[in-house]
Amino acid sequence: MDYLIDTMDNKYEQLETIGRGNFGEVYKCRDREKNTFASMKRILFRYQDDGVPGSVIRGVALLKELDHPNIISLLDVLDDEKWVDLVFEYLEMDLWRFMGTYPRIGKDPNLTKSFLYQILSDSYRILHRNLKPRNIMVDVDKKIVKIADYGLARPVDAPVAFTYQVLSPGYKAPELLIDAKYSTPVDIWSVGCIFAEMVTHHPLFNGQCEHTAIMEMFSLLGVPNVETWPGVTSLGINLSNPEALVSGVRRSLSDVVKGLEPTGIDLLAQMLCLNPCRRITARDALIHAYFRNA
Amino acid sequence: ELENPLTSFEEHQSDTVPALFANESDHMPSHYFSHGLKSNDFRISVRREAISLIFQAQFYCNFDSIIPCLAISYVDRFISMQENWNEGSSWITRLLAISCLSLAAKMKNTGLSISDLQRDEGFVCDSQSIRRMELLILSTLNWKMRSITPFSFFYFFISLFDLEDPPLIQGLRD
Repeated sequence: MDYLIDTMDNKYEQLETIGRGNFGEVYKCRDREKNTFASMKRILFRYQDDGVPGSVIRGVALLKELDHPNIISLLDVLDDEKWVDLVFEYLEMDLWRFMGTYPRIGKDPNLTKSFLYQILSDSYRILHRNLKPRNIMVDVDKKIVKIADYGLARPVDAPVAFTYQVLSPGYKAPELLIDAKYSTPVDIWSVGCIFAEMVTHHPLFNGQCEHTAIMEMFSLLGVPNVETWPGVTSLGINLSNPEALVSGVRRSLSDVVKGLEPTGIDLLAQMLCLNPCRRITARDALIHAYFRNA
Repeated sequence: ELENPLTSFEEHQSDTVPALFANESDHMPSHYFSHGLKSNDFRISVRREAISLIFQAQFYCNFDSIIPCLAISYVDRFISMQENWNEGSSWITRLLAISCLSLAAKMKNTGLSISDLQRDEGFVCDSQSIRRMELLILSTLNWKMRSITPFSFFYFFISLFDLEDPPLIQGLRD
């Protein structure tokens, strides 16, 4: 406990608990010297005899190498024999709350474009797997978004207030839902879902389970076949009766994502390509016509 | 989940190579180490002894050769930061060697435990001292525990050759 008093009292003042997970807790803190806020994630060591767990060492080592304006940065690591405290820059608002709090500003097409560009420009090097509005933080004044989704950087594994999004498969790419091999295209899919949601302020897919999520995707984007997705038949989806895999009335992306300019619809369609091999890459997305007049 | 979130090298070469070069200096012993060491510097004997202990453990445990590589790079970086290390018992050197090995094993997620590493009798240190030493090494190295080795640049260099034989390229990569 001496240690706690020492670090907390000297450098950071602990304010309130903002999250809780299997790893430990997340606090909001104030940096006494700089008078700025920070979030502090305390990771307790489950097996104390083994010292700092390998997963923590690998996670922190990775965070130490990431330095990008659109990534929540790791400011400090405070260590102890029983836990480490990871101190991150603090932003109060996540994209999900931002859309709820600012229904008008949040729908500004230029803002959507800028946020999308920022999210894409960061997704080069890292495979996130779990991008969603909840783990994209928003600096409302500066109009900057920062992704807080790097394993240990994820601010809240299980939020204090449980939300539907924790378990929702709504942002997961089809190849993730059917347990196929996946890579960076899964993130482009998620960013596509977030893109659509920034335009309409409604989640593009609501599916509560994997099966309904797949049906929603196919209903909107068409049932894949061996031509649009070579090898799809070996992935364990029974495609012999395509009608059984769609529900409701067929609608197009431009019907669902109303108000998005045509180049935006084109980019969105390429991001939501069911076949991961044909899905647009982050690099190509960034030079898409949609961003040309930004 | 934290294993290898960096996207694979082939996909983003032009971005990754400058980043590798930039990163390399963060993962090297401090500049003065190689130039400023006098042959009678105590740290040379510490280094020599630590490395021999690491290879001894490698001999007993027969783990992947990347582990001693990583561990020795930690030893070098750690020693290079200790400017006034003029004396010390061989126990400290043993502690340094085993802690660096343990960190390397954790970094590579091998599941090797401290007791595995201490099977050789020359090595015995108590686990609390090792835990403390690990923390000291982590903070001294600023938690930058990944290492940039010549292998990191391998994809870049084979991509410079205009190889037309896909099985050959695949073979080189593997």
